[in-house]
Amino acid sequence: MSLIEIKNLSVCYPSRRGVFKALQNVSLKVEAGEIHGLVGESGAGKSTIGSAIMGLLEHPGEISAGEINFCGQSIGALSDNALQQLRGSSIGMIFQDPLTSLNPLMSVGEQLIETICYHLKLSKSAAKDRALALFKEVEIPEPEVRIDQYPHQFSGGMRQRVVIALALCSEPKLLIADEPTTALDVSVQAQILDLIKRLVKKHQLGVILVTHDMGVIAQTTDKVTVLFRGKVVESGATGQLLAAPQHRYTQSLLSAVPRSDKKMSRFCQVSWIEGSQPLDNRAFAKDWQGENNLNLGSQVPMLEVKNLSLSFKAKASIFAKTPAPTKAVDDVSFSVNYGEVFGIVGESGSGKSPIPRLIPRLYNPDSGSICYRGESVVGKLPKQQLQSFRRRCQMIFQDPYSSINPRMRVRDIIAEPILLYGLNDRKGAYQRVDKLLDYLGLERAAALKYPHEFSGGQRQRISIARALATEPSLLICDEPTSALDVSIQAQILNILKDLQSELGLTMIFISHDLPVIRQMCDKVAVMKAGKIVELTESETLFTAAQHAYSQSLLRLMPNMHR
Amino acid sequence: MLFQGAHLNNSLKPRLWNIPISALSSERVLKRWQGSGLGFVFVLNIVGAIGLAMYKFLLQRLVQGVLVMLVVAFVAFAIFHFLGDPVNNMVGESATDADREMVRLQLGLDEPIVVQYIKFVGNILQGDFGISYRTRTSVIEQMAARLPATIELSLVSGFFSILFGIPMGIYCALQPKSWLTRNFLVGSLVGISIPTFLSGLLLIYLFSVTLGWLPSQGRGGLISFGWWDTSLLTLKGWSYILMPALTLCIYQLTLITRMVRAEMLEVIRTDYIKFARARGLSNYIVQYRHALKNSLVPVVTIIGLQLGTVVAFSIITETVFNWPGLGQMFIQSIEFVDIPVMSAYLIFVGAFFVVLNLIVDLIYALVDPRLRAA
Amino acid sequence: MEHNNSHSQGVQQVPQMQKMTLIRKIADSDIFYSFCRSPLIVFAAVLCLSLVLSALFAPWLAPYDPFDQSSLSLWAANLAPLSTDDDGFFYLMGTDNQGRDILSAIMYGMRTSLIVGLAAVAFALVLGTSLGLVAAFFGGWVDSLLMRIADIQLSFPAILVALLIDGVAKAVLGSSQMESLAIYVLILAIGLSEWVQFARAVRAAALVEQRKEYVQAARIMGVPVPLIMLRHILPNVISPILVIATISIAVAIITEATLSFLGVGIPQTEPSLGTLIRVGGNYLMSGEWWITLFPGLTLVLLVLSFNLLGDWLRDALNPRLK
Repeated sequence: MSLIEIKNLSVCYPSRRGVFKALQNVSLKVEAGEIHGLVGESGAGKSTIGSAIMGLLEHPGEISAGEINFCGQSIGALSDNALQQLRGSSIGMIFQDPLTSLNPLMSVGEQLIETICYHLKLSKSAAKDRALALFKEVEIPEPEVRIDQYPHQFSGGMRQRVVIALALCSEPKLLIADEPTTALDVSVQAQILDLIKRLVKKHQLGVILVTHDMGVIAQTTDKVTVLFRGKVVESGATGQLLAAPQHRYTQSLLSAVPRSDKKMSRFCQVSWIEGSQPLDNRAFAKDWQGENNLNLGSQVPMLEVKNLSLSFKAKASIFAKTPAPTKAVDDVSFSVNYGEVFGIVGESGSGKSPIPRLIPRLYNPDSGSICYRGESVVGKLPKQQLQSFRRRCQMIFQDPYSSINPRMRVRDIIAEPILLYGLNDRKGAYQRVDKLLDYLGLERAAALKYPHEFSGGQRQRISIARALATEPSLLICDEPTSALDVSIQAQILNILKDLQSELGLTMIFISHDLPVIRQMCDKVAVMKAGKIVELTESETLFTAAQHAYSQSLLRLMPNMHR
Repeated sequence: MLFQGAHLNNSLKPRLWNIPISALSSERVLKRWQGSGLGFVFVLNIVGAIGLAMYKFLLQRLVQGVLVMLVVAFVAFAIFHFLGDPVNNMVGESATDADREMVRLQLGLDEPIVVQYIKFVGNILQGDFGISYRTRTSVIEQMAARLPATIELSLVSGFFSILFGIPMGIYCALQPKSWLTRNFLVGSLVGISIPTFLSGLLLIYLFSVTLGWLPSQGRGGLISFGWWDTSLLTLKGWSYILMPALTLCIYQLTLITRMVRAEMLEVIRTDYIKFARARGLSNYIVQYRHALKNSLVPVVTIIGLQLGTVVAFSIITETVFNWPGLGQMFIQSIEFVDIPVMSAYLIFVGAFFVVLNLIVDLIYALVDPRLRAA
Repeated sequence: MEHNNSHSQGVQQVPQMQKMTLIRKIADSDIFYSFCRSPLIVFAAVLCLSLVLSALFAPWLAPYDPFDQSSLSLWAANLAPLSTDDDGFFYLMGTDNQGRDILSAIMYGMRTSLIVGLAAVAFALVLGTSLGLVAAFFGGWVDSLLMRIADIQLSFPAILVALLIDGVAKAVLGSSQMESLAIYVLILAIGLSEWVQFARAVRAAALVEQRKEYVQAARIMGVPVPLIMLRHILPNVISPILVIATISIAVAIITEATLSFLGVGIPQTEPSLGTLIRVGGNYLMSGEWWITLFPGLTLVLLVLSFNLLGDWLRDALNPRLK
């Protein structure tokens, strides 16, 4: 008898525009002591399975067919009360964001003791002993001290440990982990996944691990089920499935995952997910009025950054001592040559995010210099010079949903910089918009629509079109694909590669994702706590990293191809 | 929430730096609570970064309160100083220029504005609010005589609106689909839509004119304790206070119900409530120990501020019921352009709010671990 | 939330969506759908519209002209509803102390109330929205100063602020001038007492928008600040403004009526709902309830319809509740 067996489960969300089927005929089995991965892109329904098991589907979702058997007992037949008993006592669940999963007004100890008392009917002191034991088990140092602290006193990783401890309070048999490490940094992610693996072994837990990350699947799970638009496309032992995927979707999905073991010229596309024409519009490249080719022989690098520093000051207070300013960027120097892709990689808080905003002057640096083609662009500049620099230096943002104004038509979004710099009149600008849309594989009809009518990948193309509208020479990409699904990521990265080769663009590429960096960049700077710890050729970093921090990052990154 | 699975939360963190910290710490306390989970993250980061200890927080609030009072005093001073000619009001029509000059010197109107302002504040601190133009009596004595009436009226109506408002709000949040909730909600909208003076008039018509049960005007059945006259100790006293208090109560009650409901719904939507449910805790624990307790913090804030508005609405109620309180005094002062009384009332209301705010902040600091610790 | 995302994508792929006329787009929108689903809201909208229209067309719709002194006679004063006077004129809602037809007076009175309410809200909206945007965008001491002022003003309830401004105006203008300028003073006083709501909401929403990358993109492009605020931020903070405006109209109408009732608003010679009720209040003791009740009822219905609409709008426009 399996620990949990789901048979032909269908979940639907009725709405006035018809019934949306979140899950269709999904079947899967999880045994005790195994980690079962659910993987898929957004909209695949992978989180819905967890909610359905827990009976926590959001309104108006409902199970329309199929059954869920837990230890041979049908969950659908249980009353609300019995289901609630089952939750927590036999099935535990942890969520993606440890920051918001804990009650901020109760100490973590109180929350643990409350849950333990409720399920195991222990006395307060016995419950506290158990809570301490759980803290030791999830490897929180100094449990006696930490147990009386409040959630805000824990770091993200520690908080996720507390969440796991809470889920384990009543010795559940099944743990549902919904993207448990997505909100965490790579190094913390590795620790949390290790912890889950150890707990599984020790307690013979069954785990359903929901994730979008193939690397996590490869390193953590025993079995894996691949979902696509609410249907199971393939299921099997992890090693086998990853090595020899049977279904076309799985095959293309796996091939679209950026490889960290070798550099490829292009990404494989998951072509049938979102229709896209490849870019082969040579005419566009010929028309391109960029400045890049002019200086190919020059000795001066295109962009030179020297001793750049930026600190964020906390608000001065009359009573509290004004805290020391946080050094977000600390004495950073690098240079970018013509036609090069320069990568910056680091974890959150490493200072990789302020840099793309310092270069186009969204922030002013505290000290240091930035020279574009040998001319300084920091400090007070004549308006004309600043505008001409901004025109040549454009940026692509991380979040396709917030990086374009939802209340403007696509046409006006893309035409705005053209009109702003006076490069063309309105009619000419709109013609240019049409060309850009052609080039990026969007229909011309898109020009008259509003952003909400497009998917994430299409929006990122609009964002790229806006950046290209002024014919820049330097394109800054700030985590351009980290909010996108793997398949869409492959498309966008391919577009960027094409731009680079066809238009001769120079790029600064910021990412936290090492495989993506390897695929995209010629040179890489590894950042930690505001400083560059290692700056080298991309291939050198991946084959022979020098700095201990780079080495540990490389070691900890989840890797599908290992 | 749109891109589930993305590395969004992670990479949003550094972006929080872009917001000026003043944007948050300067917000009124209650605003901090109205954000969703992300709002929480702000507060966590920022409070953590500043390392604000509770006493510092309170001290800061105290200083802010004093500053507010100084501004209010300045407005009162400006009204006093620039509106109408105080001298004209002090002396009669037939006064000679010499008389005028004397009064001017007496009032210190020849001194620089700053000195006058400082003197004005000094006088207020000593309880000297000047002489009423209309009644020619000391303003502070007039106010002291009327204060008990207003305070008792506000307390009685505030008490009843909290007593009924909070449970109704909780019920509406926990049983969103029940017919009673729908009635409460529509009823509360009707309650907000009836102006205070109209409900007062209608009550008078019903209970005084038609039924003849309750007196329609004034305050009676008083028992004196020193300078404090109370009407709460006799049945007759209650018969006078009942209708004005009820009138005031209707509006407050509806407002409190709606706010409690909104706050609680906000908390119920958070992730930690979802996680508490996923841990299999009973509905009772989730709803009362987690959701209610967490929504009570903003609720206390709101109610504290709400009680302040009772004072303002008592102006109307007191006029309708001829209740001899401060509000009635204020309306009369406006009618007769009695500026010392106007500015004194302004300062009274300002002080009342500042004290109320401080109490709210104190409760807030005691409840919230993020301020208590550090 | 996952299903929401893919679901809306699924919906967008319906090809007919692209060829919709404006009317069909409106008819198909979620807002219109939620509007039609709630009979109470449809009722509120119809009520609101008919009250506003009857005020607008009062000169043509009202049975009598309450300003026509010649038609007034004290013989026809204080007549009960549904009564006919000696000259054979019928009064559906009775007459007041001067023999004015209550129904007509209400219709004309509503004009004053609505004009004051709408003008005050328009004034507060423009002032509050611009100050809120300025505070959000410039931050620093501008923001601190504006928000401190807002905080202080917020500690004083709107009605008190309006009363104070009215009192100050009275002291400055003198009572004779005050009479003729009363309505403007009232608009100013109510507008100034309401701007804080707009400023705070707009500032909060603008701060959220400003963090978004499209604003950063505009700043990096070098779009001038006023243009960023008008073209990028303002259109994205419209929904809170809309909600607050609707509710503010209700508050402004109540405030106007209250001030007029207290005798510091519209002079008694001009009918507004507040002055009608004030007059009626004096006769309530002697049992002439209709002079108070009918204007009062109209006032409540008018305010209630705006409150219902505002309340619904807040939920309908809140993306988190979808």
